[in-house]
Amino acid sequence: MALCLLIGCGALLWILLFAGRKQETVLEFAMFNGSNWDVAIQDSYPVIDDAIRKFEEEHPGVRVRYVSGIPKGDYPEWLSERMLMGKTPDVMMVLDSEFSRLVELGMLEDLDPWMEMDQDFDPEAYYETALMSGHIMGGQYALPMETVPYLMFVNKTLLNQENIPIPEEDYTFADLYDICRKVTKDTDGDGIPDQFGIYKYSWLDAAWANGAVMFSDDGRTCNFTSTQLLYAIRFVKSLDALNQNQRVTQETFDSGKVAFMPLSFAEYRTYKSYPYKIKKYTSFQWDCISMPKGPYGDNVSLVDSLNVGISSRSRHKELAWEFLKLLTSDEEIQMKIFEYTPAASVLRSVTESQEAEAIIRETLDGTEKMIDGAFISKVIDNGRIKPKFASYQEAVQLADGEILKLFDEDTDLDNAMRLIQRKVQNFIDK
Amino acid sequence: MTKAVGEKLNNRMLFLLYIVCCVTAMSAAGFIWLTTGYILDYHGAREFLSVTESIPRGTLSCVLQVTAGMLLLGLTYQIRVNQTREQDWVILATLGMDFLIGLWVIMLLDFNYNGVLLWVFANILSYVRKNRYWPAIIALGIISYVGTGYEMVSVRMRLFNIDDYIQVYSSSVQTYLFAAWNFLEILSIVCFVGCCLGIIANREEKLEQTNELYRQLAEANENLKLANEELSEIMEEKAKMAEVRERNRIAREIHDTMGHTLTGIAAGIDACIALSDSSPELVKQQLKILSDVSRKGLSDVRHSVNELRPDSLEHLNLEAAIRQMVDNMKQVSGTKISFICQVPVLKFDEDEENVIYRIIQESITNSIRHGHASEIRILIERGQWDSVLHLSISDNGKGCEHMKEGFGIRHIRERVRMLNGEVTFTNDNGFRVDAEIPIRWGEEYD
Repeated sequence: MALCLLIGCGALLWILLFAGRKQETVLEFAMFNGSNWDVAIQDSYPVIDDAIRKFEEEHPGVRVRYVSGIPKGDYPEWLSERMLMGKTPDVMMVLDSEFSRLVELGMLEDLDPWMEMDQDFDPEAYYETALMSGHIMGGQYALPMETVPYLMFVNKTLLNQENIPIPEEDYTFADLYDICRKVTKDTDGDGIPDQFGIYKYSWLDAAWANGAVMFSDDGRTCNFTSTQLLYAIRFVKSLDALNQNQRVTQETFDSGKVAFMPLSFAEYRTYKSYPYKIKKYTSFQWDCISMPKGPYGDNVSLVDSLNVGISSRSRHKELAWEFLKLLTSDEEIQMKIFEYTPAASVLRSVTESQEAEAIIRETLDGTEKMIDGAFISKVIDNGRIKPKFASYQEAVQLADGEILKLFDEDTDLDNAMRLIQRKVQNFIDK
Repeated sequence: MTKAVGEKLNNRMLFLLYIVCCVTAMSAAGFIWLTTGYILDYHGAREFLSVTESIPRGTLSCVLQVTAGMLLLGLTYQIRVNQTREQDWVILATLGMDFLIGLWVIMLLDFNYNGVLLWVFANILSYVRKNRYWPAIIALGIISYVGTGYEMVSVRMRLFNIDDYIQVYSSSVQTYLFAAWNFLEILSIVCFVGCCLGIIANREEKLEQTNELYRQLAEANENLKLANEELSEIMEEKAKMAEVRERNRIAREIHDTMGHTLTGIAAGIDACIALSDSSPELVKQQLKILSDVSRKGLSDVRHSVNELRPDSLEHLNLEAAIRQMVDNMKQVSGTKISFICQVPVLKFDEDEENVIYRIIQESITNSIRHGHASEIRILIERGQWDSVLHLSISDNGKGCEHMKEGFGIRHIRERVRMLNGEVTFTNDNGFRVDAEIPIRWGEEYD
């Protein structure tokens, strides 16, 4: 009896200790196919392949492996399955929607100790806005790999037609309203306006530009009754009113009948460069400027970053950290990101470099130069990041639905916002 | 002896508790493994992760490790039960190991099931013999059992909950799974309580057995005491009778020999007094007769004394008698005794031989009885002056620092003094007796 037990234990221990042994160290990297910025890209893997080649050269005996062909939509499920199987990748791209949950589950390594210990690591090299997007619950759980600020698309042809100069860099809500009012008109004489000022500009864009803070960092409290927010909503409502109940659609915009639209830097680069530039916005000249500033705020817009984190259960955390550092803070790799993806580098030195400038310039159609490294840097520096708490997306959707209803009604905004405040607070309390 | 009811109950409940713990721990790990497969099959991982608080590290390895842990617990139990001689350190070591293995299994299951600790403490309790350890053991048990409870630990740590895994299934299946899980958890506790009852019954029984044995021992002791008293009374009586008999015999001897001779001598002397004036010649003759009579008397006395000699000396010469005694003692006591005699022929007068024999006998007895010696050396040699015989008996025993003169020593001293000799007793890595006995070498009386 005792002998059988002894043999059983021995066999189990052998399986546990030796069956999983491998000769070379394999580092697993998890990424999705395509761009994080909902634009088409030709090839998702050249940057990562280059990074892996460089990493494997610097670390002999180490192989970095990734699974290709996972669409962004399937990525959260794929990653969750890997985690449940106990095969969490060592280094992984982290989507904003998953970030807080993965941190709560304890699946992401707190990078603060690594950042402090590593003498070569310089947090100052990153844009602070980009770095902060990997900061959650009082710790740095991911580092940004790509960053994308939001800009304002300007239909230059339309403005030229109307003899309106392109707004200055620090233009205001009033300037925007003024231009929109001027361009909204009926051009074909059917009595219905068919040329509009702005499309897709939401109360959130205005709120950020007016310095409104809707949620506390930990997501425990919300504030939907601030003067800044109320002003921003009134402003968007007034812009909406200019359209005289006409629905502005993407088609209207694509046909060159709208002057402004918020646009991500990724979309800007995609539709300014071959081959996608021949697909969209071909009938008019266009460029991008910063967002308008509200009376309480600045020319501020949303800055999104794609973050990469390390698994807290990785068996090769040193290597994972080295690889993460290579992806996010190596100038050569970051330049490749600038080159192959539509996003901007998270390193100031790369985004503002001559090389990056040259890449942007290639895309310009030779007319007026609106966007350069310094401009992008400024937008990123001024940018605001989305709160990272788990229920943010749902809370904002709830508020959005309620606020959009207000646009069609003629109710007292202060009262209505108090009701919304209560609803959203109830939601996040749950 | 057949096993007592309490011990049987205890062993059965322990076995049952082990089976229940094994089934629960292993089925929990197996259930998590199977459910993970199920979740992966219908691609519900992301949804599941939004419900659960934590993710186990490798579900299959968890199953294997839990199984290994439970087998190890069984192994340590077998080691404890099957050891031929109960050794405290083996019990202590295996119980300590059990505690660590228990904690390991509990941690593998993310504190969802801590019934394994019940098994560990049931084992510990069945080996605790001293009552004063009970409070500490019980306190440790309660603290570790409560401290490893899911509700306690989940306050401080993020843990996965087996309930979340159960809730993956349809509600009708959930009902059965919850019922089965709760049943196993409760069954562990029930078995543990059973074990405790078994342990208590076992202790009660042992206590009763001990009391019974103690009572029997006391009774036997009492009987023994009575028998001893009787025996010593009989012995005393016998000794008195022997003494009386001996006295009578000596009195008879003295009366028969000395009385007869002395009476004759007294009468002869009276005749000599009467004749002294008239016939000195006759006196001379008479005195010669008297001399003969007194010599005869002396020989009779000697003969009488002979009657009181040790048996060995009666039949053997002194050296052979000593050798026989030494051999006997060697055989009887297992002590190493060496006898060296540097005198060519040991042939002395009877009283001298008696004394020498008795000194040696007494000394050997003392060395063995009081000194606990393992080696005794006896040496007989002629002393510095020819007239003295040197006798020494030394041993390697513990000797005695404060010598209390008992019968033995006193007899030796008295016997030696009777022969005008000297005896000394010294402590010299043991006990040593040295006797100088003046010998009437070659003196003849006959």
